[in-house]
Amino acid sequence: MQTMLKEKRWPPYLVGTGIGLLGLATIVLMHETLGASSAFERFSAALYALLFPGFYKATGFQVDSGSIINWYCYFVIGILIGGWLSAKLSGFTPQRIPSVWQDNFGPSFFKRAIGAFIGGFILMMGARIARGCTSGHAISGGMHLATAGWLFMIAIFASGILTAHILYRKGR
Amino acid sequence: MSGLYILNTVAGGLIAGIVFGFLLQKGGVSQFNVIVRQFLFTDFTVIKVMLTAIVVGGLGVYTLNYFDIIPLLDVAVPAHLGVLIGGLLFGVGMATLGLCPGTCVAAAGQGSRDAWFGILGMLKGAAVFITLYPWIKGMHGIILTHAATVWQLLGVSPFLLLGILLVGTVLFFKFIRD
Repeated sequence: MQTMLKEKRWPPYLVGTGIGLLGLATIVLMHETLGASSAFERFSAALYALLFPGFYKATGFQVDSGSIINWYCYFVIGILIGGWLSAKLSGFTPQRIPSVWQDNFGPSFFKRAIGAFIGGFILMMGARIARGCTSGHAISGGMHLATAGWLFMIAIFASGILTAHILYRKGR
Repeated sequence: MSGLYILNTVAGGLIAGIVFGFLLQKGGVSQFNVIVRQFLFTDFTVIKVMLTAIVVGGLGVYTLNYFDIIPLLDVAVPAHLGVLIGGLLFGVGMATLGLCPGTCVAAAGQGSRDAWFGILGMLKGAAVFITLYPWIKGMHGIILTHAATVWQLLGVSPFLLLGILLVGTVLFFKFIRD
């Protein structure tokens, strides 16, 4: 068991099973489903509310009942810790710049940072317009066999495949 | 904040997130190369993980629901226009960043520095979304199908659909080698 935790990679069927079971556990024990994008909306809203006190009223943005920092926010913080823990145990070292990116756009970290920022921006705009992301729609929605979840998966693969083929001609 | 709140919300969320982040990192899906290569069809880890999670989770959800242990929660929502438009945008972003929101956070945890710029971009994207929300929310009201689930759409039992997915997943693993 100890050596397993120190592995650099687990096979996909194991990881997928773990995620499926985790999704079940959160439903049964906490009445929550896995999801990552709403936390970003909340963190962003909280930050903006701090900096610009009139923010909520101005946009008419409603946060449903309770504190703006909710279960999903702690979930996302947990993801950060979990990713760190896994890498720490296995000695995983990430590439400075992903090699597929570098093969196509060169070794400039600045360029990669800009790409990541823009990508993240478009990603989250899409996620919140869809009201979910791969965790929320594809996995949680997918396991519920939701039409929203399955349509989302088809949409992201359609545009993701097209975009990747346009952006990354080398190093595939 | 009551003790129960801390237990349910803080501890519950953190623990679930830690497990999730751990699994994502171990799965390799917190890596740009893995995700982008899925879109390029040279690495099928992403689909394998997703399919397995959906089949395992789905069998669990519907079995527990069958025995009235859990209700079907509101993730089973009818697809609205925002899902389609948002999904198309999401794919563009995912191919550019090389990560999705959850895997990007896991990537930051594992030490990928570029992931932090992805996080900044995501926070900015969320902020812009909030600002544009009055003009976007109309999309959420345009329903594309009244069926909340695919099995309702097809008029079959959820277990039939899950059975097909299970068989499909097994075949996928058997025949698609990276």
